Amino acid sequence: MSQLPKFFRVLAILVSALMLCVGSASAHSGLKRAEPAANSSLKRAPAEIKLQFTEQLEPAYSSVTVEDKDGERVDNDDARVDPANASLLRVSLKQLAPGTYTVIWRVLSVDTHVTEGRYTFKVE
Amino acid sequence: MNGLLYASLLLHVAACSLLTGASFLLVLAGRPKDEAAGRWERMALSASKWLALVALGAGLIWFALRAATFTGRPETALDPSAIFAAAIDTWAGKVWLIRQGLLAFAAAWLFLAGQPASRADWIASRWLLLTLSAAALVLMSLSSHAAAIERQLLVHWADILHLMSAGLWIGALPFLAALLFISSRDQETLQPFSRRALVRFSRVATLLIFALVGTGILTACHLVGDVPELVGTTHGRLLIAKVAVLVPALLIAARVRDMLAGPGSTPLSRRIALHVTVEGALVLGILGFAIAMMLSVPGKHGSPTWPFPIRYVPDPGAFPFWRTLTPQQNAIALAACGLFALGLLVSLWRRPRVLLAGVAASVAAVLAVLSWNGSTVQANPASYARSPVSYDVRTLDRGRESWQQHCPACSIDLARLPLSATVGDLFWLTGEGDKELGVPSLAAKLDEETRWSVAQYLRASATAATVTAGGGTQIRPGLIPAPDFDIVLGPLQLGTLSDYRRGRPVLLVLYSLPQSRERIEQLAKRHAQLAVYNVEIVAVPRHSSGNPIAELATASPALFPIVTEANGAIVRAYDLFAAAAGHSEFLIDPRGYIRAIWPNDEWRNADDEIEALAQQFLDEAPPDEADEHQTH
Repeated sequence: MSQLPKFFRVLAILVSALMLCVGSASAHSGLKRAEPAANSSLKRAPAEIKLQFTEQLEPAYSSVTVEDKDGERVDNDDARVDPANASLLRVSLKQLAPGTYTVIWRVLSVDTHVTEGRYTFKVE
Repeated sequence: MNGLLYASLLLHVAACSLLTGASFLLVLAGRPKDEAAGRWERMALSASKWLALVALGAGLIWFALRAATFTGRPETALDPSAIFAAAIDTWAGKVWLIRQGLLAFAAAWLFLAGQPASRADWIASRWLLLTLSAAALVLMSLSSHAAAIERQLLVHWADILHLMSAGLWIGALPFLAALLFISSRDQETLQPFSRRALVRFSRVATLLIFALVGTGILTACHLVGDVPELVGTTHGRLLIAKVAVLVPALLIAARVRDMLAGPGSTPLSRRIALHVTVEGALVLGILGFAIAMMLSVPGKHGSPTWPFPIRYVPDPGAFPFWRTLTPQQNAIALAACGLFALGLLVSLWRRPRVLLAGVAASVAAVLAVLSWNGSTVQANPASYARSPVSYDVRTLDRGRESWQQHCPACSIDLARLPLSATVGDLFWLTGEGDKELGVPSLAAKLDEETRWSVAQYLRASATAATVTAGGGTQIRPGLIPAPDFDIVLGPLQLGTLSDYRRGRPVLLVLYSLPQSRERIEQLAKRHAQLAVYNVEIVAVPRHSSGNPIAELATASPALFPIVTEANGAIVRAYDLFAAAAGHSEFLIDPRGYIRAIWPNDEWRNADDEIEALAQQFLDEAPPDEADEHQTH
């Protein structure tokens, strides 16, 4: 029995070390597909941005905005998760002039993880 | 923040599991009939009170921290109204509210309820505690990875059963160890009670472990994915660590079962108690890995870093049976294999030599089957990495331009690139260079995204070189993924090709007038007939013009989309595979792979083949959402 405390100490150190090696938490729902696609060049200005994610989204904490090269908002501030597809985020756009635009998104998936990102597209 | 999240979630789940396990063991051991057994029961109930409080407190801290990540503002964690809003406005918040409500009910009952007077009261009160704590634990599944990713009922139920089995097994062990230690000190009065509890727990634990392994394999198949994700992502490696700790815990459990066959003397009780304590410590370690898995990106959505210098490549057409299975059927088959292996382990436990010989024979048989049906090739860390750029005609165009611009003198013969080379291998090649192939390192000239585009282009070109060298119209399944593109008809946007397909075969027609007029007329007439086979037609004029529909002016109306934008990129991408500059047709299967190409005038013999192939697609495994190749 005299070996017992030593054994548990070693076990506790091993388990703690393993648990410390697990790495940090990170975001989950990834952008699966974007319309217009990242870095695409369009002849016709799109009327809407559609972002398809890998996981289902929480509407209250999922948003997407679109800015022109001067940082001015060009979306209609109506970002919403599609009622028929909980992984699809959409926002309608104002009439876009030729130029480069940046799509900025931040979403919360139903497993409580946040992901954010941005990409650009061009209207010729 | 991440450390706090991890610590609070670990504390919350551990407390919930221990509470569930304690109430489970109280039910399993039965009503104590003597003072000593009653003492242990009071100790377990007293511990349960504090566990319920810890679970509630840690749950509150965890959700407050989560609410801060929802808004992106750390101060939200200290703002009750913002936390309440997060709880009301999100699915995970509602699930959390219900779970906290159940825990609060359990805590109130534990603190306020008195000692049950009758046997019926005792049974009702213990079952109430078990139901409340188990429900609080398993409802976590409703806001887990499984709930977020999969819509399949089987995965949800597997996740719920997995949580339940883990909670009952992990949570009960420390209380069982306490019971056995007390028993070994107070042999005369407590031993029969503790022995009964141990025997009952041992029987139930066997079932729990089988449930744990079966459901664990099912959920892992859906959340982790394949071998590269298992060994190459944090999520997968945590799973390996979990299993590595599970194995000694199972061996100790088996040893305890053996000890139960012996006489119930005090020294033996102490030994059993010690074994159960170590088993409990190990499974609590497993819980640590499980929580880390909850907070990490599911392997299926990660980008694996391959850790070995070689990798296995099955021969084309090898394992035909497995290829016909859907991912869900594959997961069920793997779970069945896992349970069979566990069954053998349990039944052969007392015959270690037979067991070792069986394991060695199984490993040898698996290696023989693998080597018979495939081979190993050189690998690198990027071999299975996921391309951040999508596999579409624009990416191929960009890749081609960059390749020709930055490597005009490259003497690489695309046909020499092995078909087994993945896009990741080619990305690695563009970074490291290869003197033998005549490829310089482009790492200094191109950013990573452009190198991925180049890799996609090289992969497509290498596959195309092999296909065109082989001749024939049909292409084996899974060889050439169809590059994606937007289907735009004048002002109408029908989405991408992969959206439009929706699991149906598509006949893609690249045409030019006037050469293709006869075929387009024919397709306009045959459109309805092809629709019977679920085959959709998409036509792309080789040369973009103002009004391609008016230009066609078919006698029968062409009731299929005629793409009016990005024609050049589409044509250049698909011409890679057809090696033709005239009328070409491509049949794309429901999984999104090109299965037949008819270049130039070969379409005259195409119709019967299209119908035969469409019929064949019906017999093949249906496409899975996760199987959609976006990047290849």
